[in-house]
Amino acid sequence: MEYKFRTLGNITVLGITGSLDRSTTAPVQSWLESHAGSQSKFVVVNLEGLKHLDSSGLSTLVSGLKLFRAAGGGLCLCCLPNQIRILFELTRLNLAFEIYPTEDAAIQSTEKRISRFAGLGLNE
Amino acid sequence: MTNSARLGRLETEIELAQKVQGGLLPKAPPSVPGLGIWTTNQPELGVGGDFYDFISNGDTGLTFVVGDVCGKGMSAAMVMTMVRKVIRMVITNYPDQTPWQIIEHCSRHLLEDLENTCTFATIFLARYRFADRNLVYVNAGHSPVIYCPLGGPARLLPAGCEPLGILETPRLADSWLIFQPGDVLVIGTDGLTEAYDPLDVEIAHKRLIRYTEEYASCSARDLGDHLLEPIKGYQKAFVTEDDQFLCVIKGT
Repeated sequence: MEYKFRTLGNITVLGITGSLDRSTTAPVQSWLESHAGSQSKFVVVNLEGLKHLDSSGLSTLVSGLKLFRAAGGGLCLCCLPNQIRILFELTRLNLAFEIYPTEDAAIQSTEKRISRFAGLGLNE
Repeated sequence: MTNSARLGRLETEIELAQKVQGGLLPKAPPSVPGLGIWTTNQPELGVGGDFYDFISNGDTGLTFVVGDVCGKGMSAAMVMTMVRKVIRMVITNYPDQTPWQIIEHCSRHLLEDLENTCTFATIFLARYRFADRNLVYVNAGHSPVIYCPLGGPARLLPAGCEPLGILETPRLADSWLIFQPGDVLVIGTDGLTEAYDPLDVEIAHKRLIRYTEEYASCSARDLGDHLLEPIKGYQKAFVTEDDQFLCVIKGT
């Protein structure tokens, strides 16, 4: 498993590739915990290169969703390979996450959301 | 303390935890009119997040639950004991409520703890009525659940809502079927799916469905044995990556 991230203004894009399972979730979990309360409150998780996801990996993503929501931000997913998309559908976790077909679509939607927050005076 | 002493102590702790967890799960499936039930449970680390429970509704029926707390080992086992107990308590306290209403209660009770532990639990819960063979169920994110009516074809019973621990009130209603003699219900957990194919969940489910159809005329026990047969090679070749649980219920 490999992960890397880049920051685009208020949004961080986190890319995870390889296998996200029990033996590899710890660094991703630490990243999510340390970034949830940071300046960039919104994260787009790009799973395009993810080959394998088990229940521990799913749990880590759910945990990230909860952490970012609790910090007043959000976490969405994009570019799910077919096998990963099926896992989300089987567990109906596709109802819990916002899932986008492309990274651009995820970023645009998140930007709109941040603008709405700003309009309501909910940002920093 | 030396490393080997520490390791020995940890092994002892796991053995004790295994005994405690084993004590919480049913020793054997109940014997009830109209159903043949068979279960097997093999936690990868001795203890795990898979659980099952059978609660009698007196002379009128049986409620059964299969659940899987995400994650593995001791941490999943700790959460599992809490989830199992809350579900059992709600089922016992609300004997007339439907599976969906039970899940709704449980979700409210469990959400905060599941949030705080950053975990979730998939649940399949069904109430079976002896008199008319009515089986009402709710599937909160659980798979695989395979239903094969007498003569087939077998099919997955898909989840209708998210697992517990995501929303306070998962969005779902009850589903139901009349469970006739010869009908089969196979309930596994994701460890079983992974053992059938670790990388392709669709292929794994197709194989499970095909084997269920092929051996649907067998007893619950024999069907269970047949379903485990294809993955014995896998278990020998690799260290199993997940807990494996299987429950087979057959209309008799």
